[in-house]
Amino acid sequence: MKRNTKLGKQSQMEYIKLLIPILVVVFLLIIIPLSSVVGLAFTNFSFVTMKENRFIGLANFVKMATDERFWNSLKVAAIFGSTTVTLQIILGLGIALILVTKFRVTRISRTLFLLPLTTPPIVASLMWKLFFTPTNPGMNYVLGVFGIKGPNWFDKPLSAMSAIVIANVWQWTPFCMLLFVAALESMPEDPFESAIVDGANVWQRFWRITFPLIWPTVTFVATFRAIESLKLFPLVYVMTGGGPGISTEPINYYAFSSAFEYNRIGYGSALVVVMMILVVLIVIVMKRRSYEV
Amino acid sequence: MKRTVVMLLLLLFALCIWAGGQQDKEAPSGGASAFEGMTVDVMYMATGGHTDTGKLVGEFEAKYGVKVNFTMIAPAQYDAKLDTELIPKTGAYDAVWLPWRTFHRWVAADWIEPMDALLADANLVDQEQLDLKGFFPPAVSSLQVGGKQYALPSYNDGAIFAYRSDLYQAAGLGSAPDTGQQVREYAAKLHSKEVAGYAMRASKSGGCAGWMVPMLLRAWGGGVVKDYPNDWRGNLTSPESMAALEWYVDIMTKYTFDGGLTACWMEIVPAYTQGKVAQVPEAWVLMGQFLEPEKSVVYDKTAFAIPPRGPATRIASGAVHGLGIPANSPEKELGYKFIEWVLSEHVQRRNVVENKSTAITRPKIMAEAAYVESFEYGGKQFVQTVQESLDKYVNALFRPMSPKWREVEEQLGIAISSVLTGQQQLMPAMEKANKEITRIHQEAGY
Repeated sequence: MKRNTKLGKQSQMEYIKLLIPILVVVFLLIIIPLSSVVGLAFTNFSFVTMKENRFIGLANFVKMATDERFWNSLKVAAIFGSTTVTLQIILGLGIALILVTKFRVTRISRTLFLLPLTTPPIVASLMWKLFFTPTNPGMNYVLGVFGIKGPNWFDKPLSAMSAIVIANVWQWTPFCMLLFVAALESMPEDPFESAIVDGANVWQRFWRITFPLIWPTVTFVATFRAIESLKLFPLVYVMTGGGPGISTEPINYYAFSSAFEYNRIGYGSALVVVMMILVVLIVIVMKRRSYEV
Repeated sequence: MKRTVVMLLLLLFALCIWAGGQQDKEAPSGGASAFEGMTVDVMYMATGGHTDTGKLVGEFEAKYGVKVNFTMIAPAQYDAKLDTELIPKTGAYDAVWLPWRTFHRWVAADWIEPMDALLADANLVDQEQLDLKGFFPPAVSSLQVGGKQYALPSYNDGAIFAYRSDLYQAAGLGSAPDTGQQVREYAAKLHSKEVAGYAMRASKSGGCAGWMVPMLLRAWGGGVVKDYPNDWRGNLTSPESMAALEWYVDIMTKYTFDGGLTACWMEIVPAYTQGKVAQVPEAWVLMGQFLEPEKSVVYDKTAFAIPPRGPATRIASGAVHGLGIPANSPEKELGYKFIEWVLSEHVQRRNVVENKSTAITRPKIMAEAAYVESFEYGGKQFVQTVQESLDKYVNALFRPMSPKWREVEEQLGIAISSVLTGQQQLMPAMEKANKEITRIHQEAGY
């Protein structure tokens, strides 16, 4: 018995030794940068005025409470997150349901649907900016074919935001689709056979069997995409620059402007800390949701 | 057969190596210099008139027996790129482009080396090549801070006014508008479904609304701040500033092109060259494109005028970019030498003739036949207008000069953009911007 315990301790040491390389990597690449950002959030750090940099406690966070631009950036992030994630899940699941059918054409389509995912974000942003620019023969030309007069997309907050949402949904729906296809294809067939015998229709089979079975995937996709939507950067940077005004400026873009355009690294870091807290909250909420089937 | 092919391939390979070696030998054969065998790292912003400068550096390499690593960065990414090079003090560059908007910020951070000691070094300076007095004098002085010269002018831009002479004629408009009021009247007459009556920079991005609107404020007797450099509080709600802004919002919301309310030069220049705009104030360096038959459908229907005056004065925004030396450059003298060479009369002339560059900083070249002939489509009116504007109206002090300009400019841009796109009324938007501008300057100790 004693011998076994000793062996257990030995193997524990072996495990720890094996973990050391990855712990070093995590420490160097994650813990140190994150702690630096958290530390900077409590300073007035600026590269331009290095001699005046000092610890200022919670001043950046207090300032944030009365900063209209910060609250606007949270609102914009929430709108982007809710619209893009909802649309991506609905469209991704819809396409996945079509693609898991046994028709040959769906196999080719599966590859085609993945193309947006392979486009570099900056290229996709430039492509969509050109497409939505009213002086180019893009979206408004397409709408014109159907007799619809397209708006000046980037001249109004709603249309500018819609343009970014459309571009984001175009690029990331294939990712959701891919995960849903995997989830749908790994479902057991028995419950469906029983349901058919019991006379359940397609709609009932979807809501009562398919959806509960893929629910963990739905929550994973929603969590992942919600976090990613907080990091939405290239589309905003290239397509609108956060404008018109600040109507499409999410929190990460505001953090970027504060830190690198205005050289207020301390305040920019404080904004990033808030963003990290939001990410943690999203993960906690969605993790709880994943058990509620 | 197989053996012959292998032999031929080997021969070809050997020839390639030999040719490469010959090229390497040719580059530094111009004669020995104090810099023989050294390397100079240069970073340029890919701005109008300078995108082809890299093609000329072979001459510098041959003359001084050095190698030039020439990097060109797009304007939108330039500031961030230079920040990342200057902040960690990598010493990666010996000569860098310094854009007018962020120049003061980098100087305030002590990241740029004052050039005075280098300019005074008789062993280093080739006076004939430098010819300091040959630059536009205001361009040289606008790159001084606290009496020190931090850069030499590489780009001397200013706003002038371009218009469609054919549309003017058809509408019975005799000459170019002299006042802002006339510009608005003309815009109303010229505006149609196909051609917008007017376009002007409006985007909140750097160098867009922030380059044009301060010029209007000054022309109407207002300004971004109350009394530069004595009183740095925001001045956007003064009666004069408000009158200028009302004019701007009115003409833009009524007569600009589709997408024009968030446009900057990247959208305005193509809109004009595609024949979609009738009148536009823009940077003259970019207007060379209006006159190129390959790029513009209105190259022979375009005329130019000095910027229309406001109720208070006539003024044109200026933009002087410079070439400077990072404080941590390991080869400051060689960096200086490159700057001296690339801004010399001879190289600027080559840039005009070979690269069709409008962006010159020496008045002498602008008066030369080579320059005038490069832009003859406008019947020399373009060059004359630029000369007159530079002589009398271009003023780098159209805005307050401070390391905080980028932030101030953005506050102004956000307010303007919100008003143009109907999100806010003019007065509340400007009151908010005023407050922010005052706060920014107070926090910076002004």
